[in-house]
Amino acid sequence: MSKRKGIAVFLILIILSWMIYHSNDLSWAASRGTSNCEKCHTNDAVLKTLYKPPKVEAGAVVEEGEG
Amino acid sequence: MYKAFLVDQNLIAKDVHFEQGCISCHKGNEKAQTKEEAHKSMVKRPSDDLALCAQCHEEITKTYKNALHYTTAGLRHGVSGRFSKEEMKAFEGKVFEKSCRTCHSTCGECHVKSPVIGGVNLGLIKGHQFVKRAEDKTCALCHGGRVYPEFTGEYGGVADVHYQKNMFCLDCHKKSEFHGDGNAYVSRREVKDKPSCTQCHKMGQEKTEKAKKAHADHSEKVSCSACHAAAPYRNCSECHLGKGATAKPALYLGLNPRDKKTVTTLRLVPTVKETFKKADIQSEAYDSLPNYWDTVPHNIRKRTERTRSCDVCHVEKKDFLTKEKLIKNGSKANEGLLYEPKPIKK
Repeated sequence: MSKRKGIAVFLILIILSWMIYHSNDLSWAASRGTSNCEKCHTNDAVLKTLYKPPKVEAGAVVEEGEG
Repeated sequence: MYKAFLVDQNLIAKDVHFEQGCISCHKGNEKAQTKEEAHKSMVKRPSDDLALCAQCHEEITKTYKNALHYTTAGLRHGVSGRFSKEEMKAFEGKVFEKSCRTCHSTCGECHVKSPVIGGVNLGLIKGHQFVKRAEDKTCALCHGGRVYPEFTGEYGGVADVHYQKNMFCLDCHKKSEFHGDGNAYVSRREVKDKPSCTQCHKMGQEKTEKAKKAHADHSEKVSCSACHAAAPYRNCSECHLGKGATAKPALYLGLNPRDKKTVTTLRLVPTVKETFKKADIQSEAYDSLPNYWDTVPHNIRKRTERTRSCDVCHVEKKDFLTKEKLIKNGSKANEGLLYEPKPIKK
């Protein structure tokens, strides 16, 4: 086997073993598309436009943590 | 504030919790085009249902079902002694299940998102990462009225020496105190293997003879916190009455209501005679329990004014609870906690 072929086989083996090691991650990442939940909740700009701050009523009694 | 709900995209491919998609835990509609539609029937606190986490974390959820953070049984125990049998029944239905029980902590409130307290919602702890511990964003919220601000020094006074040495809640309080050990305790006082000062600070191993003698003289008679609580801590009353709480800093010393042979730090607790009036509970046995209970303030220091001079307690009688200091219209049992230190024989 030539030196060049040997390097190619070695690289293929490295890539294959990396894929086997990460097969779990890759399989689910590839198997499902991005949901709409993810589209909004991972996008800073989009989430900023959607967020509505909670209403704070004047005179409301705010209790503190128990203890 | 919206950032509190921003999920770290990098986690999604890496963390097995995201494998089944958001809706597997949160329900809702992932195909919806608007926020309102998507959030319809969404479950905000999926781990309210322990069965969800139990799919993988069976061992932990099995014990957590009985853990005090989940059952909130301690809240019931704290007040039940003030009720007649009839009142206890009313309390169970009208107050405990509808109010106290709603405060239980879910798995997610310690591992994913801060609990919402008094309308303050800090949101996700770390971009929806499932974290092992983040006391400043979890414990600190529910225990943010008294313990945590005393510990960090935010309540005035000085910070606890353990906090200054970079120790946090879980460095003393073991995991089993949160996840439970399988026993259904009625209060935290019953929990086995609670943290105690002497687990680390062994008697007899003091660096100075003065400390060795002081510990030997007061052993079994005075609690550690009675001398080592560094500053006034929060004392509350009249909470949950719908008009806000009355709270003020104070340091009280008196007899331990659970063990009247020892002097300890006492804390005024929020329950007053009218606390359950809205539920038609008059607290018929109100006077059988005091309003002050033994407490370990989380503002411990090696040197305090009481460790510097014997006279602070034995001559000045400083900080000892007296009849004049007791709350007005309080329980008659309060007077049983008064203690007058004796002068030292010279």
